[in-house]
Amino acid sequence: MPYIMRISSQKGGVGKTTVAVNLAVSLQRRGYRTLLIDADTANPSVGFHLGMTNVNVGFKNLVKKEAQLKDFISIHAPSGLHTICGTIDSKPFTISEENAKTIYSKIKNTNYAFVIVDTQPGFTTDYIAKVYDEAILITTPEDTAVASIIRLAHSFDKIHLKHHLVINKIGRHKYELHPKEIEEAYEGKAIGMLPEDEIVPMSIAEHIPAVMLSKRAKFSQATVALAETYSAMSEYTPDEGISKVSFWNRLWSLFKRR
Amino acid sequence: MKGIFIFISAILLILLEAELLASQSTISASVTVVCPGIISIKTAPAYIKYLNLSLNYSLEEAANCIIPNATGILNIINKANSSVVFSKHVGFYNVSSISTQRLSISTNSLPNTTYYASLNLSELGYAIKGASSEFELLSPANVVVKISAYPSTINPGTPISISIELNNTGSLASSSIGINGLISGPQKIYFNYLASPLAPHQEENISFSFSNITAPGSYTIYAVASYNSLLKSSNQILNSSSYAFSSFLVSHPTPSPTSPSPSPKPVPVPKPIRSIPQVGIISAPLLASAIAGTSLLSQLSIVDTSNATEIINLSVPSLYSSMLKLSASSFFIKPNESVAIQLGFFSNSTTQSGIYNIPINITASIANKSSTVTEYVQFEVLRSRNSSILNQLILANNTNVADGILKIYNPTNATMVNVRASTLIPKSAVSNISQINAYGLINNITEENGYYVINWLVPYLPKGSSTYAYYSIYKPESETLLSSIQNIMEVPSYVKPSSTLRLININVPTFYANTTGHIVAEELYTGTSIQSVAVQLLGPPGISIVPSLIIENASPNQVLVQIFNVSMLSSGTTMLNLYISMQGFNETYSIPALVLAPTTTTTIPQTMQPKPSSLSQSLESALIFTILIILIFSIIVANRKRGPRYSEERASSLKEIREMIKRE
Repeated sequence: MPYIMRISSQKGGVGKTTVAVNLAVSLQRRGYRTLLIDADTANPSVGFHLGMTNVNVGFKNLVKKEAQLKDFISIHAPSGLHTICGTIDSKPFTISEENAKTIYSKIKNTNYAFVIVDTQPGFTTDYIAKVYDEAILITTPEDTAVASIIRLAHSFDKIHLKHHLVINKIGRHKYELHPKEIEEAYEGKAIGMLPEDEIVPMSIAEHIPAVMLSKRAKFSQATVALAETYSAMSEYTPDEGISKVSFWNRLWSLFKRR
Repeated sequence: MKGIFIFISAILLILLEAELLASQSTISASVTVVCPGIISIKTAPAYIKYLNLSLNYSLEEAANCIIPNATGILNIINKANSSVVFSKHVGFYNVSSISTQRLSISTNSLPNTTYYASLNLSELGYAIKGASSEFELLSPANVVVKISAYPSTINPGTPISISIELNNTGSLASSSIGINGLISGPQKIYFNYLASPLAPHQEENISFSFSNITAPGSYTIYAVASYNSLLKSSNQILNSSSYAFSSFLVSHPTPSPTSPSPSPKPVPVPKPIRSIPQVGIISAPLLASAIAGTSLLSQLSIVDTSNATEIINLSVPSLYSSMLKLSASSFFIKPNESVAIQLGFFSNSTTQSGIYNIPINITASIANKSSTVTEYVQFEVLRSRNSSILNQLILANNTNVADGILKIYNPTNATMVNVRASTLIPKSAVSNISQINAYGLINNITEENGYYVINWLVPYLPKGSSTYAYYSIYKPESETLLSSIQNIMEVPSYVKPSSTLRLININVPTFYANTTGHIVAEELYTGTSIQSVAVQLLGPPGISIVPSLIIENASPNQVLVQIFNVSMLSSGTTMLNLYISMQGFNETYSIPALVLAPTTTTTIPQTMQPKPSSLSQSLESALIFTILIILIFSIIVANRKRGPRYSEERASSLKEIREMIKRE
């Protein structure tokens, strides 16, 4: 049974989709069969991150029950990640509780190790505790984002949905909150700390996930560490995953890049 | 610093002033009066795919003047990806009221999606406000027919149930579906039915029961569904038809049982292994061409590839029964025996020109088992003299020699190999076979069924190309009979189950490291039906192959060509693997590619210079090393100083917020 994770925040612009895409790609490249769902019905953007804006079927069609689940899954060829994209041309729509339960019961019956659901900012209803195994709360080191995360964590506590904190865009600016301050407010340790890195806007512009664009970038390394944390928790045995690159090939690619 | 800024600002202001003055003087010098116009573009909200897309666009003058010349571009754009699928330069001249033009284009190659037509015009260099109109391309109704008979074997006179499944897989609803059925065999029964219209993705099952089939033997049931797709908004209608067939057997009546008498129990004898009916095709015409209103003959040769005598039933769907006649439809054939069936292609003056893909269903039966193969033959009906096989015969005055020129043209979209053409000269037109002389192409002359036949062979005929053959008839007996000379073009398709697809050529260039080269693979497909073929070229890590996988449809006797762009990184011999796969066929070929080192440029020898001393070199290295260490240290220190500091005040304020939220 797959482990279904919801990437949440109440505030926009904190990097939910960036984290969702790069975490999903990292898990897939480590050999864990991963499905990424773009459930942001108002502003789907997974397609931009993966260079899959031309995919014309996705979450909207799944919600409308237009065919089987497998018919809406697209494969991100460079990483092998399976994804149900949001269709960029569709108008914002809402999902009924019954519909959501049907979709997630189908997803529960797949053989993915992880299912990562990128959601739209905002509150949600009680039923989500029944469909998700965990929520990853994304915040940035700013008061407003942290306050919204505390609110979301409180509402998830009430419905008994397990959650973890990821602090994104840590920029080493004097005016931003210290991670310890955020953890104290959240009343728990952050599972991931992702630095502010220019690889992120570059990766969005290039439509290549940051972890694939540069493995050495700080953001990529931190995301891979987060994926390692989750893969250590998984009960699945990974597939072969990405092939090991020899020292000489790495050296050659270094020269080529220069 | 401030002074420099003021100085630069002043220079910029002066330059801006000068620019403004210059532009003002230009405007006052060339005032152009433009007659205003309104562009409009009208499309239907939707069109049916495979029918032409027609739209009107117009330019109307709007101020009682004349638009002398307005030109621009009309684009049809795929809304989903903003790609321009059609573009046309348009022009309107001397428009004094309204001028309308019409565009009609084929939709065959366009995907089913939403488009918009956009027109932009400019008059004397001034843009007129453009117009656009959106429309959708819909796939027509596509009714898939499936037919089955139950049970598959009946006794004479017992009922048989025939079930016909209809499923509309298109995007439009179909009209009422007319079903014309035929049970063909020792007895012939026709049946008709009018099914109700089917909405997209709707299915319907129809069942018929027959109990009047008494003659034993093998039967084939055919059902042809005729319907149309109607789109009222664009006033378009598309007629379509589809068909299916199945077979069943009426067994021979068993003798009535004799009066029971005691008898010893027979010892059970092991049953012999049943033979599996199989038929192979030796040759079939790939393309037969005739001018509308004429007819021609060709032949289909088949062989019994099983180890038992088979009953062969041949049939052509009723839709094409007037176009293709068979000399025999049911006969016995012994193991390894081959039979040639004459095929007569007929057309009348009203037959629409074009290439007809006619299926011939060949059913082989042994006992109550049967297998069916379908061979497709293409019949080209021509309207003009622009034929795929064109014969010109000239009988010059005052001579007794008729000279013929035969042009063989490949009108199909595929390369043909081993093309065979036949020129059939009526025997009574020529006194003797020795009076015929043929040259220009490999040929032999034979005598068959009242004709002298010149058999021409063209080993290779690329798509769209033509070749010529020549023949002379000395002392023709009858000038009238010469006009009835027939020409047939055919491509023999030898079917070998294990090798219907084979690699015939692979072109690997000599590569240089860090450069791109093309690897070209060619395969010959000799199957009898269109098949999807996947060809993939893979190499070791670090080698870029674009595209790596090519999937294409192979038509009978087509030479498939794939071009792979391969970039090699390092020199040496690299082993690439070419995988070719098709349904029931998988082959792997290892391809060694030689990669040479990149070509080096010649260097000009430099003049001798004194070598720097080892002491000065080591001092220099030490200095660089010290600077680097200082630099790294200062970066670390700077980074340590940067970043947020933990603040008790901020932390407690956040905690307060948390408590407030919890209290809510």
